[in-house]
Amino acid sequence: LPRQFTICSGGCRPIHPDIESLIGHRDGCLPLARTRAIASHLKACEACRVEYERLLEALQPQSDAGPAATSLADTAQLASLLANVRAWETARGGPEKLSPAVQDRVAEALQTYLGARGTGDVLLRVSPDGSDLLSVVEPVLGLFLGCKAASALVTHIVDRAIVRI
Amino acid sequence: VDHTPEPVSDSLLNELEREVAAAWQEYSPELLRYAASWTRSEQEAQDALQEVFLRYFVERTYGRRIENPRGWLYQVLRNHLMDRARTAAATREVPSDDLEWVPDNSRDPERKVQRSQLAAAVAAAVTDRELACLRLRSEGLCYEEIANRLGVRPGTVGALLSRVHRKLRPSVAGDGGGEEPLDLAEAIHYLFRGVQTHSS
Repeated sequence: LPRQFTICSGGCRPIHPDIESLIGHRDGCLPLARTRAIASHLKACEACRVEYERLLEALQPQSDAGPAATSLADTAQLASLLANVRAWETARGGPEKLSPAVQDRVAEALQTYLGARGTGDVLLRVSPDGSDLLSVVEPVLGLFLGCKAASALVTHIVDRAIVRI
Repeated sequence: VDHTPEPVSDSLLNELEREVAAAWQEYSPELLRYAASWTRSEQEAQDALQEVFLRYFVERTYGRRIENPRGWLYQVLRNHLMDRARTAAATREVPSDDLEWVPDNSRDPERKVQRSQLAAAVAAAVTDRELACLRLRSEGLCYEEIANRLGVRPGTVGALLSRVHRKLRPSVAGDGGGEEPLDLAEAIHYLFRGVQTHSS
């Protein structure tokens, strides 16, 4: 194995630092050991180096457009975002109650991992409006999958069960 | 007609909307630059940003705890852009049976004019160092080899190419008038032909 691959999985393949780690590395807010590991990984891995350079470019403040023009464009984009947010809220039928369709789809996605009974038990703890759905489900999945895998699975559940409303 | 957008009134926003708006104001400029380095137009980058912030709102609505919003937004944006790139690559595939119908644009006179204009514009916009870097890349050299030739670090090569691509993008993306934009590889190829012809 090349010595520079200090971030390794099971001693066979390098694990590439995720984007959060690269940002942390750039901001200098990671523990020293992790900083060193990422620095040597970047020396050895072209793909991550390119990604890191891309991030550095993005994180560098630029002033191509004047502040007034930028602010106007930002306001227009933000207004558009909030219009999309409200359209989504309208489409889901209001915040009062978790829609049965969403509940069924979440249950279906969870059953593969928790079984029918486990899924039923977990969903019983969710409030009627569903406002704590993901914060109830994610820690349970994390108990036996680990935080990263649980997070990825919750993202998958959101894709399958929620976003398509 | 005044197209100035209405300022977003704080009192109209609920708590989560305020959270999303605050995240937007804090992170959208850098995220937009990041997205723009992946896409061919600013509009695509803006669309990606809208998707990602809507996603943030949706997940927070259902109670997702996001401890590091900035990192989360970058991660979701990157995944979104990669999915888009994969989809775009897939939809551009041409079945081999239909190859005879693929038009050859190289002899189109309008296209020739477009290319020579692009070559002139780009030659004027990039520095000698960026041009040298782009030329070596277009010859098929990897970052390490380019770095050795130019006597710089490979990371610098990445930064130079990223800058060149940003400069090229507006010319390559076209003016939105319905005309088919030049492909980036095609533009680079003609850039060097143009430069060589010009210098010889």
